[in-house]
Amino acid sequence: MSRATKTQQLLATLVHDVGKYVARTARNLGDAPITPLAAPVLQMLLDDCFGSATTLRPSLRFAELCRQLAAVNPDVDLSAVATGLSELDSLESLIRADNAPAVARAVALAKQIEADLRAHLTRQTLPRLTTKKKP
Amino acid sequence: MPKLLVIEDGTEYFEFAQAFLRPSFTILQAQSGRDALALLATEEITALLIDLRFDRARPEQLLGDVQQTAAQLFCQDTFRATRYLQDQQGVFILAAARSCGHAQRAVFVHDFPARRLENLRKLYGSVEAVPTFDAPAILRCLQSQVTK
Repeated sequence: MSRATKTQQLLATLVHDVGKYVARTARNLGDAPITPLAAPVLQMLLDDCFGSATTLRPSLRFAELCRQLAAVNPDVDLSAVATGLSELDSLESLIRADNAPAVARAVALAKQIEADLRAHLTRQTLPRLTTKKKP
Repeated sequence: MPKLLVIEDGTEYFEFAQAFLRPSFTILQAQSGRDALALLATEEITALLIDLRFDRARPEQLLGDVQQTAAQLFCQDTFRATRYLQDQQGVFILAAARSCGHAQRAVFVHDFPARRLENLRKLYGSVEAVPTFDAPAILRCLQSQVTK
């Protein structure tokens, strides 16, 4: 398998395992979520951002996949995503207390993390789709 | 009230549907292909919301024959065959539902390449895919089936 294909596969896994699930609740709360959130919705947001009994914490899954990606393609720079996840982790106790500004920030971060990961995947995929063989 | 059957190996889709799709649907849940087929046989289901990957499911919970898949696709490697059945389990469940005559619209929350989605539609009829947990987009896909 080529380096480009392996890179795409790992980015697609990052989009799925980290991006899609970290934003599961956040993307449906709007830009200014109404707080306090309903208890089931807050619990969903907590599970998305920090993991649950059956799911891994996104920052841990991200780190695991980044290690694999760095071994294949060290040129992919996911530092902005890492920073976003780190900030999310730092807000955990405030979000668990349903602190309104922290919840709003978590919602924004989760959506940004998903968007950033998708943008990396798109950038990695587009050149292959538009490259034409010269005659 | 139309009934939406959520099929997944965890609870993430069900929670999402309860929180953001419930005003429009009564939500039912199946956590395996066999449970889904049993519910489809007994309930008037309007549409399906299906997880593609069942990576938390045990091999005995999966639809599809591990040994046969290993022999046909993976040189007898049952580990890779199990992984394949887990990764594609949503499609195996959809295929089983269709073979039992259940033609409801199926919606995946997955980023299928266009060609893959086209193939799924050729094989299984009414299939839609939304790349993210975008409730309005998922509702649009599900409700276009309801209003037909």
